[in-house]
Amino acid sequence: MIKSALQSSLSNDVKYRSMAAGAVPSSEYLIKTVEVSSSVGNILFENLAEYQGVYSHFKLIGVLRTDRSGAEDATVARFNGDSGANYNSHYLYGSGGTPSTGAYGDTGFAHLTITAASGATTGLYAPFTTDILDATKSTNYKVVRTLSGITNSATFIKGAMWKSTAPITAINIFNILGANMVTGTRVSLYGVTE
Amino acid sequence: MALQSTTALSTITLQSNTLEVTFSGIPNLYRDLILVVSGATNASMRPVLRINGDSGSNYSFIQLADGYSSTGTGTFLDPIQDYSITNRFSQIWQILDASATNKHKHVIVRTNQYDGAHVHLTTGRWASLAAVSSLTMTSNSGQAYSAGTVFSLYGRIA
Repeated sequence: MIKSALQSSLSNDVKYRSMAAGAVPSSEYLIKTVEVSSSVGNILFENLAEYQGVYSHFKLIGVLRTDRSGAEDATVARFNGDSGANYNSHYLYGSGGTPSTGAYGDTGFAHLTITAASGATTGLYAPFTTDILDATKSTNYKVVRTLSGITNSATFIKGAMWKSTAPITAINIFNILGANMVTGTRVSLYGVTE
Repeated sequence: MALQSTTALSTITLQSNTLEVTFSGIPNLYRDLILVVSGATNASMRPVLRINGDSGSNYSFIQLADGYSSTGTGTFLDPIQDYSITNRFSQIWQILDASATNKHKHVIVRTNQYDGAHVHLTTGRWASLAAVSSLTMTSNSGQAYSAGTVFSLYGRIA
């Protein structure tokens, strides 16, 4: 039995002359990253209409922290500036013991993720990954799924639906009680082909 | 022109049962790292992860499984701490902001455990500001990963 398998320098089963040449074709493409260097009230991705016909889905990945008092906060999203009661959300979470579930109906935003707040341990942020399916299509309502959590609170699965068939042209991410996102918060937007 | 987000960095396929697998010398070029594991164990064990060889009590995690959740802290990230694998499994680890030096390292882990048919979602944290330079998959109990298990490391730009 081998005790340890160690790759002392990175190499793949296929040899590449440089790391830059080592890319494997992927269906996911970086559109933009926002990294907060001074507190902001929201993160806005706009002018996304140019990606219709290019990507089918969007993906958001990042880490979040706000200046709200307490250990946790909640981050939400609006699409295309729609603040009408056109969003439904559901969640399943575990914080130790039996998991809990809940739902929000007909709200003015999609619930995305639990978020670390100012009372959380220094250096702690909430990691999240959000998939927005059929984001650029004009035939479907938009479905959102987020995996997230913070280790001083809970791990979440959240689902949401924007009841609109309009292609997503803007995504506005903000915090449910109006707190600011603080330095170190990072949100990256990716386009995913079909 | 948009950039492809993910680059395959390295793959290790075990030729015999192996207690631990380490990727070292991870370049500071990628914002996030993705570690995909697919394989089996030769005896009851839990796959766990250490970062930069840190064996201190610097890890915390919350597991959400089918009908159950639990919290934990310890000397490694232990995403299925209340279950043991005795056969085949797959795991996807996302290590976010792996190259950052101004925040702790946060992970999202999904595990499919074929024996007993459990699924797990775990979020975790390595309480260190250091950039990730190595990842070691080992076990909680000194048991091995079976021959044929595949470990694949990817870097994702942001």
